[in-house]
Amino acid sequence: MFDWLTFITLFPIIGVIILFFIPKNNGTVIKNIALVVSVINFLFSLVLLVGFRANASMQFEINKVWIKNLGINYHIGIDGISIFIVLLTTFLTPIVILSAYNVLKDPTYKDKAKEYMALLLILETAVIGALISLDLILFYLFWEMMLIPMYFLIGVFGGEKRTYAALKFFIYTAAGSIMMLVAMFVLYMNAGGVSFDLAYIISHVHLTATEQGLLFLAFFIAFAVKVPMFPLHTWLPDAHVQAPTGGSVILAGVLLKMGTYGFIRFAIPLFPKVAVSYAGVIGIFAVIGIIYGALVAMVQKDVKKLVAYSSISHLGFVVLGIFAFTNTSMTGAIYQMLNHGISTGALFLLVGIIYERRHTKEIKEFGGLTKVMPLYAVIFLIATLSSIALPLTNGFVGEFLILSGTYISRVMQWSSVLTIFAATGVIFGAAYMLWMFKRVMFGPLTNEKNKNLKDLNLREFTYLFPLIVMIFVMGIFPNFFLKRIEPSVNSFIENNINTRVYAKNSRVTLKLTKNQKRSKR
Amino acid sequence: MMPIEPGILEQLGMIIPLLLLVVFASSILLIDVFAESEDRAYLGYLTAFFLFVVLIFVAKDFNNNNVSRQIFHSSIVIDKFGLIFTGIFIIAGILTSLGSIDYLKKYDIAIGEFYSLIMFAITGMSLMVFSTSLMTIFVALELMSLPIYALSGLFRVNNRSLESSVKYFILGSVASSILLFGMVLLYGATGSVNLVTIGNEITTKYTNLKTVLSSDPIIIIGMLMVFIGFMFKTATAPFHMWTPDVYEGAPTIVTGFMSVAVKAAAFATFLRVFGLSFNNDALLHLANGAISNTSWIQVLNILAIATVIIGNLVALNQRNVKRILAYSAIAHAGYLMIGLVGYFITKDPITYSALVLYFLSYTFTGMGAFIAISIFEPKDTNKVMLDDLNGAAYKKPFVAATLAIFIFSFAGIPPMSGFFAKFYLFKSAYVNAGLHIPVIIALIASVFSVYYYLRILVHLYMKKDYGDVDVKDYKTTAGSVIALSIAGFFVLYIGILPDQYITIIKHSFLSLIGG
Repeated sequence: MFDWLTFITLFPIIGVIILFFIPKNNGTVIKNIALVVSVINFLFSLVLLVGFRANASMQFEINKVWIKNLGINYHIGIDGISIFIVLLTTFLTPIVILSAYNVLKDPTYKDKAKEYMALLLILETAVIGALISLDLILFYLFWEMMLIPMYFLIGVFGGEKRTYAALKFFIYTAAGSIMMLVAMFVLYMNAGGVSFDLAYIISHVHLTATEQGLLFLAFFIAFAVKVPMFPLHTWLPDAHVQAPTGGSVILAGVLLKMGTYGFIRFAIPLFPKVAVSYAGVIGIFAVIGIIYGALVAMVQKDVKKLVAYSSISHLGFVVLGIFAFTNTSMTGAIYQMLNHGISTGALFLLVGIIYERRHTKEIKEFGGLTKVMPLYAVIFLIATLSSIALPLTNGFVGEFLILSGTYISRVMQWSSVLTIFAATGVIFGAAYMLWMFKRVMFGPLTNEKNKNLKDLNLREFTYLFPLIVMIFVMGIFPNFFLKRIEPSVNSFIENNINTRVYAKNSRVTLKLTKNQKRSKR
Repeated sequence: MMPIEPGILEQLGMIIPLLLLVVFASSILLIDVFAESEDRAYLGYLTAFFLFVVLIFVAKDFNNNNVSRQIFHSSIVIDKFGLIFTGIFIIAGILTSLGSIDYLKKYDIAIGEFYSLIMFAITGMSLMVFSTSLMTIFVALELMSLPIYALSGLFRVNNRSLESSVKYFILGSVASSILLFGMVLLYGATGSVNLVTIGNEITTKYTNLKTVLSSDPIIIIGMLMVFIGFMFKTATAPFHMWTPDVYEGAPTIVTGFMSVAVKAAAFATFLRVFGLSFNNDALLHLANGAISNTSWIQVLNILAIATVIIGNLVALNQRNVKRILAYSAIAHAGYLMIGLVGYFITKDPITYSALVLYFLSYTFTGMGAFIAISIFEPKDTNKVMLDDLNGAAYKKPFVAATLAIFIFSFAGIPPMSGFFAKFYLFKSAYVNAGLHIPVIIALIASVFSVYYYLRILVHLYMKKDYGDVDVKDYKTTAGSVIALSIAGFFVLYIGILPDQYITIIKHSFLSLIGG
């Protein structure tokens, strides 16, 4: 069988190689090549969706020896947990590339179109690579590789304090990953020093409870920095505010998901018992993140910073859903990862559009934009409503599943209380988003500079339109996605939680199954 | 253990790479004398070509060499271990001679001696790693060091360069004499200069702890002095003090050669001496008894950790790029020291190949980085401050892009070779040798290192003001471009497919332990 996964992962690199040979002053050609490559890659990635069977198995799996001497395999594959995040990546990349056409007309960046496009394509490769890796070191390799393009995207193309933000981003993530690397050594050694393959290590490790706790902590911190979870979130507002629009979209849309994805793929299956016993504590931090993110977002004066803090809040829901360990909540968490990528991606793109026109993101500079930019206002409204989880939009499905699943969780301590607090986050979310929308869009058009703003042009509409379509498709037909996600989640819970944690404790298992029945009803 | 020696012609045949190096080095001198034109660029290409020829011979020897053979009264052994390191020195030499063409032109230095000194230094290094006798080691060490002293003072009118040269010469000579004195003591204690014989003597004489303590401590002092001598050359704390000043003052391209090749040579000889002479458990007991219950390994561990911490922490606050790279070189010496300790503990092919792979990666990374920095060096200053790099990336995108690759490789970010080199080194030290604390400290320190490495890139790419450097300074010709391409290619290649190199290196392991 043709190795589609590797092909999709490496295809953007082909684009980078082509770009290398094009003179740098040939901006239009460079942009078009990058766009074509990314669109083609998206079309290829649809092959995965067509070939994907809705069951729990790993699909498109390839397992080859890569570095024999180090016990590293080229082991890749996708299942219901990762397939849509891969598709989200290939879906967002062309959108981001199209959105950057205008930014690169700016005289400062005019000659740097090639770098910008090449970095986006390398980033796509690294992200897809990390999502499909089933070998610890292969994953680590792509995980670290993501840093380089993102570092340059923020540092070269960012705002005034870009070097500070880029460095902070890099060091936070690198520090987290080093802990993970040490933990990988320990796991490798403990599993007999033969292979870094995830499945091999899971079936061969024998760790004491203390060791498990420490190693889980190492993995957890590495991923929690990326999510980012309170209190490790401080790099995110800086990175988002300084990053160019495209960088923000990719950062929020895909990179943050790597953290939550890492929890599901690595941290929990490797240490299910610790994950379960600390589920309550993690849940508390998640809820703090939800409420804290929302409250801080409320007082922001800068639109982009507001959206950045809303990310912290939204990702809090995802973490809560994952560590509640019910089928419903975890499916919801994965769904919410996709939603967040789409709705926050759209919001960042929209903020980028007014920033391009006005060179400011201050809320107080705007007001009454509906009068001059009606189409823009409509799309902004849809993205806002999706972000605050209005029914019929995608956000509703995800948050509803998470909250209803978490409420009945017996694994997470105090889950019902946590759910109630988390639900207030939804209300806060509505408050800060709508308040921001009101201040930017409605009211009198007082600022002179805003009177001649142009509405969306065709290019801008073209890249926003797919996102709007997806908001409704995912909100109205969630089953198309859920039925592919669910089998993997069910078997994940069954294999990792029910079998490995509660196998000996029949009472809890019984409760859990009752729970599941209830949740299915 | 005295193998029958082959005839003199056959013996000479076995050291053809060394002989070729001497012949080529001398012929460069002669060509230089009789050359008419003022332009000496072709000498750089010629040297690179000569070295490439030698590299082919070395590679051929490596493939054919299955048994290590002792020649010249057991003072030299031709084995895979030595050949692999000779290859590393020659690669460093090729990159240096190609990269130096533009650099020397920038300073209007048209002398052929530069290239012949490089080749003589390589001869010394190669001879040193082939040596199995203390005498040969010392002679080879001097053959290596003297050209380097001269090269550091290449800019005769530049004070810093002169300071560097004199400092290196004086301190280097002191270190050499300490080394020599240690060798004398070892000879006195064991009655031989041959490494294998010394090893056998130690094993037979000191199997019992009590006999050590009651008999002479001379052997311990001798060993310590040999240790210090090598630690000076490898720039390991606390013998690293000379490094920043010498590296800063020496011509940039020479700094690169020093930080890569000299360090590799010293480490390789370290391995050889301690692989052959002090390779037995008796030694561990011996050290246990002699150094007040602190084992030998622990002392080395502490020094390795100190080196890592000093190198990384002091580099954080430097603004001179050459000094940053000098301290980073110290930090890398510390990582290598951890690998070396790991090797002393396990003596297995895994820790060994991790160490050698690190050298291979470091050769391409280090040489590449210094060549790129030498291109960005403002004319006639012999100094590169971080601000000199501002915006330079947009004048020389290719050079800057390769420099970025090397910097990421230094920092150990995949998919550069530095990642797998560091990964394998730390993995083997952690998993195989059980050095948990040093590895964790080194990993934490390497997070700090990311800061100062990235600072170079910040200035290169992210400062908008273009500085007041004359654009003409950034002249590159084919030589540097080829050197940077080779180095960049291999950094990526080893980073993505390191397996075959590890396998090759593992093949050379047996020869080191005398198999």
